[in-house]
Amino acid sequence: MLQRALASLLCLLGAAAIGLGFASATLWRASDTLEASATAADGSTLLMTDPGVLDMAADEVTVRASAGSGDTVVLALGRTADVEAWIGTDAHTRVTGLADLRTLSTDDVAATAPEATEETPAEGEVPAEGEAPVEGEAPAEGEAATTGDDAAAATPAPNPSGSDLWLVEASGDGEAELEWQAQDGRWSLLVATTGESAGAPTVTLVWPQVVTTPWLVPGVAGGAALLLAGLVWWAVLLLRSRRAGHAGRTRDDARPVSVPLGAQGVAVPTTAPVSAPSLGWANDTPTVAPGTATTSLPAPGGVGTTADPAVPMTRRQLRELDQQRERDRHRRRDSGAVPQVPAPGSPSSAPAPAPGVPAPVPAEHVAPEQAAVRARFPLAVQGPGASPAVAAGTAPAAPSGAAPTAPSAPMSGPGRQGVPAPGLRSTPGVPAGPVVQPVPVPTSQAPVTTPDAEPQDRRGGLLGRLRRRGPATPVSEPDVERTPAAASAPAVVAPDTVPGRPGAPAPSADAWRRAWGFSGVATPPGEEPAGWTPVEPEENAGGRHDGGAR
Amino acid sequence: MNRLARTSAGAVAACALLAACSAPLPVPEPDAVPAALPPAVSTTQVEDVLGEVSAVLAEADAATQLELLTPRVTGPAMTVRNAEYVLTQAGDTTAITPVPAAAQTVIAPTTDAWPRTLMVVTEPPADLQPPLLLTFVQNSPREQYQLWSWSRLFPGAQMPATAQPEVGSALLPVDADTLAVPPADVLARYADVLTNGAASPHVAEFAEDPLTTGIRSTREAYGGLVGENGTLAETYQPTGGGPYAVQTADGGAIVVGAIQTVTTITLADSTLKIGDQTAGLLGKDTVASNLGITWISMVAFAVPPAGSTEPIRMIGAEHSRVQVTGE
Repeated sequence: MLQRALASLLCLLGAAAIGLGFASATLWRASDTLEASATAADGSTLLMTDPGVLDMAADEVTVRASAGSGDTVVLALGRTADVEAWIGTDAHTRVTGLADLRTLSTDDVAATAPEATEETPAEGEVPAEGEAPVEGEAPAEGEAATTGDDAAAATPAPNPSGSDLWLVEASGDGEAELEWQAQDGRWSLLVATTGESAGAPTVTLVWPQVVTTPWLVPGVAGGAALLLAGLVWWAVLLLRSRRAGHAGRTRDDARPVSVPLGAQGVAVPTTAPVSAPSLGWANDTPTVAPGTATTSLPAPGGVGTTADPAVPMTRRQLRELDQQRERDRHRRRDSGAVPQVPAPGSPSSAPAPAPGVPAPVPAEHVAPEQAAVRARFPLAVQGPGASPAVAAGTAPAAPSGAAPTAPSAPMSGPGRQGVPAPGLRSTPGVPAGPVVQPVPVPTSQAPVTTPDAEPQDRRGGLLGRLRRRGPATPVSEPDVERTPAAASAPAVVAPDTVPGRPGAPAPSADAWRRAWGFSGVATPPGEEPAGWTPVEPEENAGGRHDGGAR
Repeated sequence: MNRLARTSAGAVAACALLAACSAPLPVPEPDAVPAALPPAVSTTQVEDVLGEVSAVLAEADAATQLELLTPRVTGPAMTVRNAEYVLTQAGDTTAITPVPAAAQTVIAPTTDAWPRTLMVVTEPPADLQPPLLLTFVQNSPREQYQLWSWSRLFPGAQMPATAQPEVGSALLPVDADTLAVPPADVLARYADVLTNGAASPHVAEFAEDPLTTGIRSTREAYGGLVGENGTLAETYQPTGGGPYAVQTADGGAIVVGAIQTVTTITLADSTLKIGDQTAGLLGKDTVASNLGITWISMVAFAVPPAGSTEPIRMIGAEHSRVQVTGE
């Protein structure tokens, strides 16, 4: 929450800075002129500026002065000493600088007494009284002189206009304006009002000024940076929170994805009940796969006697298992684990051919297959670790494979020995086949096929899967051709591929394996055709195993 | 916490940035008061003064009304102009001395006090006419520069070098001791020389000048007229205020003043026919008992600096009858 608040604050500050930046360049943009005014003190008709005031803001200044109605305003500019001397002891107001951007600071100076006495004696020999108001070339001489006399007597400040002291001057009725360009030296402005009842003058100094917007760029840039930072922060926070929420929802699903496959089987608790089956298999044997049982009888021989493994689970268990797998598959699909399956699929077929060698299955090859197996069917992998797992994993299949592949037994040494006995026992007619005859094959396959077709309902899940893998079931056309080959092959084909190592028993074993889902592991739906054939030899391995392990 | 701290720092910085928006107010930065005083008037102002004075003179001259001169003319100049107007009104069309408005040399004062003195050498008023040395005086800040005197520069007289008007020339008090003779004493001694002639102890201090020669010749002329039938007395004294002294480049000064000469003639059983100008001033051309003539001489001296052996030279003068009385 604090972070969100801070992020929001950051955004807010950024927006504010941008706004202020813009405002500084628009709303609050300084005027092109600096304009400040001041008014003389009440009762004073004179106002002057201190030296330096006129050009304190710019070299050029425009002076405007105004006064009450009817008063004449005079603006005069001269040396500071001259202005001061002209004002003399009269009351006046001095402008000392800027109080703020619109107001001039002033200093009121009261009149001092000696003024009057000083002025008169200076006049000397000439009729000086009339002189000041006359102003040189001023229009009416006689009349001006008279009014001048009156004014001089009445008001302390005569009209300063026309004095030789001024460099520039201006006057007007009620208002006047004057422009001045700064020069070296000390200069002052004198503002005076003249008239019978002259009021205090007001002066306004106007300087042009270069308006800069120093806060526009920093404000906007800084604001944008802040805003961006705030937004990014917010985005990060939002993203984080969303991910957290998602993770909470999908944690169960997601976990399998990340967890190594090898550990998966072990980890999944659901396999636990199923893991026991090794024991259960024996018990359930009769019920589970009668069909297989029959077929298996001939093949396993000695081993077959203990063929209990061939029927490891009850249907119910199978169903559950199937459902379980189905569920797993869905989950995996959801979670995207599927892709991992194909990989082991192809290798699985490869290692299979090696069956000739009992244990030789290379760890590397096994690993993927095993992984696939585990992924598909954790049950198989349950207890054991890596390589041992293979043995264990295949082991269950092996017996089953061994059982049906009785025909192939003849080929292999060990198998042979076992075959005769059981074979004779169960199906007298069949035994003959062991050598090469396909006869057993059909039979062996039949159980697979038939159940495949009929009991769909019952073992819908499992069979459905099998059927979906089309090739897996001998029923499909390609299989037909192949199966015979495979079936008969045990003698013919297998030898080819693996001399001295007949993989004959393949068909039935294959079916079994598939029935248990192993084949599925090896061949992903898409690759079935390719993966199918190679699978067969694997049965040999299974056969071998059954011989060895069981 | 770290992030919080950073954010807080950023916020503070932003606030500081925004708070610093106010620019400092401009403050007056006047030039320092110069160690050496600047000229009190610029050449522009001098031209203005000359122009205004000329305008006033022109107006007054045209009307021959003395009152019109009051704003711009004072002292000896006023007195002389008055006489000129009288003569003009009496029919003398050449009585009025033209005062050119154009300056060829300006001697601007450097001072911050009053009275102030401004001297100007004008262009020649006419061909073959000598230029005038005008002296203007501003007695107080609220007064104007007024024409105090004019002197015709003597032909061949050498104006002492003075500082450029942009630099200005110092005004010297009447008792300045940096000169060979203090300004006030220059006029007094000159009057003494006029009075006593060769007997004056100061005669050697002055170089010969046309004015002195002229005054003496005039006196002698009147003396010849009166002859045995009367007496003639003449007095000389400084008048009209002043003198005014402006420093020159060599440390000396130009001293401008006025000398009043009063000629008193007493007749015994005789009449005296007087000349045009005197008659004009008097209003009649014959006096039977006495005749009083007052002259004003507006003079300009070049005074050497103290220690100099050079004589005081008169560089220009205007000698005018200003008043005549007689019975």
